[in-house]
Amino acid sequence: MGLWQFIARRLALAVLVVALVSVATFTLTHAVPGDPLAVVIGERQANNPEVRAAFEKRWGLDQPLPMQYVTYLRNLLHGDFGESISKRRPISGELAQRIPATAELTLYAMSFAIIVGVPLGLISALNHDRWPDHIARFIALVGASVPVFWLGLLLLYVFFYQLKWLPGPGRLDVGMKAPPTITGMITFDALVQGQWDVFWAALRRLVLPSIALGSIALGIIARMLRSSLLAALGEDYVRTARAKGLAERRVVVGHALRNAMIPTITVVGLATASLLAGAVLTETIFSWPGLGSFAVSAALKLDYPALLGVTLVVAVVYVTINLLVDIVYGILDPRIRTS
Amino acid sequence: MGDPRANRLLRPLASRLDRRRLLQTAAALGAAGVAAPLLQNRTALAARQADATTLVVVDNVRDNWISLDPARFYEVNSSQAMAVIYEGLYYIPDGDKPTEFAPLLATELPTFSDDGLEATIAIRSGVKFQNTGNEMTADDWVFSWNRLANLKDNPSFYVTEYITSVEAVDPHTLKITLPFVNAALVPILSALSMGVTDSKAIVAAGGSDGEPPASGDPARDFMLNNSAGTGPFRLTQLDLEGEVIVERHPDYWGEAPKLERIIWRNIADPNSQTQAVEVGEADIAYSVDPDAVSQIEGDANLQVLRGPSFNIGYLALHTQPDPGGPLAKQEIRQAIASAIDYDAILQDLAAGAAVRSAAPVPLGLQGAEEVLPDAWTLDLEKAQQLFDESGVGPTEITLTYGADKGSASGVPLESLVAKIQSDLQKIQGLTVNLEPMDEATRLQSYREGKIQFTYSVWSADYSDVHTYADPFGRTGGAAAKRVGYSNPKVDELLKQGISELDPAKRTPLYIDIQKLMIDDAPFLVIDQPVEQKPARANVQGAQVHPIYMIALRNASKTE
Amino acid sequence: MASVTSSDAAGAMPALALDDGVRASRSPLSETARALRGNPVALAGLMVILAWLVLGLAAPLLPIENPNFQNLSIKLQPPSLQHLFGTDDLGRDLGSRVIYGARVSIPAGFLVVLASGVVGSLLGAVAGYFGGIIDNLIMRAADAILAFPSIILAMAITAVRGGPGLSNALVAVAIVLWPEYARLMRGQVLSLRENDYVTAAESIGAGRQRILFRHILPSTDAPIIVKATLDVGAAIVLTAGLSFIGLGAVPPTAEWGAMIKQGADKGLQYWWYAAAPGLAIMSVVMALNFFGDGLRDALDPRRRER
Repeated sequence: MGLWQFIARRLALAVLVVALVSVATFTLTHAVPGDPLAVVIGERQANNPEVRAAFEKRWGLDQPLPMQYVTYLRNLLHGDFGESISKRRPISGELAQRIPATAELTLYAMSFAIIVGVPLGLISALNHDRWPDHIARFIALVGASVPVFWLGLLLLYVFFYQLKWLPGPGRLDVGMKAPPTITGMITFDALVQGQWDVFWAALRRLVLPSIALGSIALGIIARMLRSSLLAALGEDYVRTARAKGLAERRVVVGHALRNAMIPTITVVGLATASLLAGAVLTETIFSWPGLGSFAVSAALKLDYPALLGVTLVVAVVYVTINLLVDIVYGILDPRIRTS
Repeated sequence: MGDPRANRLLRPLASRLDRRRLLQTAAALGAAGVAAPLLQNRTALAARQADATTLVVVDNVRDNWISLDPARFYEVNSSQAMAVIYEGLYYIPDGDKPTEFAPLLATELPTFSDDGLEATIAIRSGVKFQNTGNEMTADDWVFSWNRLANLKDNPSFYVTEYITSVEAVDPHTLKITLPFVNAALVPILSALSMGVTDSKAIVAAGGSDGEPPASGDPARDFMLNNSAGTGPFRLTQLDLEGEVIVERHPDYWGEAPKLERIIWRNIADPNSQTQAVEVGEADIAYSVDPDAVSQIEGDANLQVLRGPSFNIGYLALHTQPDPGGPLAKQEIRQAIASAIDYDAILQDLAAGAAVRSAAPVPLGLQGAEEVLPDAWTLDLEKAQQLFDESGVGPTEITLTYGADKGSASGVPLESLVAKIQSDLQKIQGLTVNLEPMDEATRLQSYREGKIQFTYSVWSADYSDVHTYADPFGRTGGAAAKRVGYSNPKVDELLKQGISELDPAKRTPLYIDIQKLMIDDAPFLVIDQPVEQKPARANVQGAQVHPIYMIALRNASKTE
Repeated sequence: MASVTSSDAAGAMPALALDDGVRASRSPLSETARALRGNPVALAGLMVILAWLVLGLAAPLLPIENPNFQNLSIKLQPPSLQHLFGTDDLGRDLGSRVIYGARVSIPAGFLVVLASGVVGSLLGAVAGYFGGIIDNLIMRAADAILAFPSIILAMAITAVRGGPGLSNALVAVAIVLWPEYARLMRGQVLSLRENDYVTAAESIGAGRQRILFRHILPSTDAPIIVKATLDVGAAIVLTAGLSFIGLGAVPPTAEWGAMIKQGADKGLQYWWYAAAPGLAIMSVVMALNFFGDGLRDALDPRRRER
């Protein structure tokens, strides 16, 4: 199978998964016994059928379920995610503000994890069982062991509350206005428009949540790279290469690392997805107005359209990452393509 | 080695999310190259606080505000803004005297026909609407109330339940026909949703006072982003993630406000709100952790604004065997009422940020003070005795509460219910289970009368005892129905109470109602919050108010 | 690659044990034990886990306060001699609550990983080895589940099962975790299948099941065990996370995640409130990871030869 054919097939499957997720979310959320209108219709009008009917009509809840889904899809094709029941505002507007917030946080967190995690993994494996290995493993271990919500609290306590080195929860300082939106990622927008003070303030606010969130991925990446690199170094072909007298550097880079990359890339992909889940907790701690906190409030209020919107966005992101992982797999190991 | 590859994984994701916007704005940016210096100076907002004519309030705007359209508004926090943008016929000038009303856009109190079913009200002349300068007439009132009723949103009951019809006798006289004699008419007419809106402006935006078309109200967006009232301030910006701004209305009919503008800035977390006031970036914070108040009071630059709230947090005990179980027995309900350590909850848990009324009528409304001596208090012996006498024997009940991060008077719900559980289990033979439920499910089950025992909250629709006594006391009333409560004596007294126009004769009726309800014990009030708002010491004239939350009409700042 | 995996002896990967029961000789177990004995870090990890287990089991016998005993007159007190870890907002002893919390969180983590690891690895191996429609079916289901934000999935499962609660949270966590095993196992099987010894086994006509269970699975243990040990900790953390947003343990149950949540809500000035349960989670998870690492080294036949 050619690479392009392989990619096309993976792409088709990815679309299928997103469709599956949307149907599943739609069915699941509507199967839940709770009533989303219970939260928005005030106590006084709770038993007024006319008001209830007006609310049901407004969100199309008076239609049969399959019709609701068809309507939803039709609107979605026009970029219309519908209106949040609990906030009564268009969800697309809400998503447009929250996706960049989470993307920015995830980007910084992942960069932190990779920049620290990959060298840690390499140091560990190459100095197997010597002290650099122990130290690197210990750091990776702490990263993998600390619950992100607790690490977030700890960082806030030490660097914000006690030392006052870094600012507290939120994306920007009180009284500071976000730059005009280009990407919605404040550091980027501020940089492009030369608002150095805003850039600096936003960057400082990203430090703690990025470390908290990135710690999950850091531990996973470092440990996975170390263990698969060690496994690869023990393989026959590496030993053969060594026996042939190849320089250790070439053995590691040319043979072992190439094989160790496969599980590591899988894990980077999975870790990015786990960051999205971790973002729920991190955003809660750091009052970060992103997708995670949006998902929590939507879930707790059974806000169907909001839940669907956020689920779809996360599903698309996740499936895209997976697609990329698959493609990289395919490039690194052509045998997989033929499967 | 690994990171360039991983970055390759991430980059397409980022660009996918933003490519379209990037393209759009790239063009705009090119054009705006000349204007770039203008964009750079956007950060001097903190300086505005120093300006004595601008008041900055920090609140969880994003989560608690929805719409400032009177026909849709039904939230608590945004009352502060509604009260300075829109005006009703009457208002409550002093938050400490919530049952005293004064004419606002009316010129005097209503005159009633002999049967009490028709009220005639003279309205002010020379009142101009914000933005358009249109003169307010009786037609605007007819339009506003019809629109309120026909949009069938949360506040529509103010018209549909209490007003049969309204007509403009002449440009400055309204005649209201009532479905029943209503002693609470003036309080109802003072509700923020009953404020007048600019009919011409709304019609110009496509709106009407009839049934909205199937596609929804065409004026909705207009009313979301603009104001069309007569109040001293007009809405100039509604950005719920950022700032809501109102500016002084230059043609205001009454005494001009001292402030030029009020800004409500979104800060979700109470601790950060307090901090914003402490560092001088804001003048008033809407919320505060009660345990942090003492520290604020010690700061000479700060003050704490205090005042009553009409919210009550209460336990609902189902009075029917299904699903009430043992709670169907009055003795068991009374035993529970006698086993709760109310003082510990109010003083220790809530750190004094709450008080408690005896019946489900908040302190401040008619009769609530008078029945305080009848309130249930902690008496374990009596509780045990009542429990034993009921003959129920060892039994289990389940206390349901909302699982999301709710709090009662600043106390996390988990802590409150754990405290109540521990108190009730001091009754030998009574086991209490706790059951968290997501709020959407809990409210629905509770409203359908399917929950045995739950903690819930009720807030005021208008400033009169009837807005509590009726739903909680009347057979089939919104709250009473949920616990299957029915007491014919209460029903009879309620009927008399709502039609008794003489306040001196009316209050005793409601005292009797409250006493009966205390004895029946279908609802046990746990907390009525005392609102506490950290503020800069130089803020004057801002008052914590049970209906407007913070009354800012007369607020000012000293230099 | 004839060496037998010892994972069945460790019990961490029962999926691998299915076909190897007959070969589970004593020697791998004792070898593992010997290897572990030479690894003080792993032993320390094991000790910490055992200590927590003993502490949790013996909690009712210990001279500590009832974890649910409330005394509002001493609420929110910092650590002192009477209350080594301070008190919470109801005046309960935090030390005692953390110890009782071990009875909840630790068994929960093991249970969840056992369930999701067995199911996930089996499904992943089957998908990778048989390929085709089976592969697609399993992996798309796994993708769909992974593509769900875990909290929404947990929420739905919780609601269908009748409200928040620890057991519902555990089911949710297990459902969230299995696809990762499936993916990892499938990836391993995919590259192993092409190896010479598998092709050789196929060419001499060995059955597909036999090849999968005797030749492929035994070679896949190292990454899976790394993952499983990491995951007992991850499961503890995830369950605590669900409690943290109010979907897990029901009060007044002393559960670490719920305690951290309550501490966080109260504010940073009451640092000890969240500190004790946080340290508890961290110590358990770190111990599990240390032990898991040691186990991995002990189990890897190639590494032993070196």
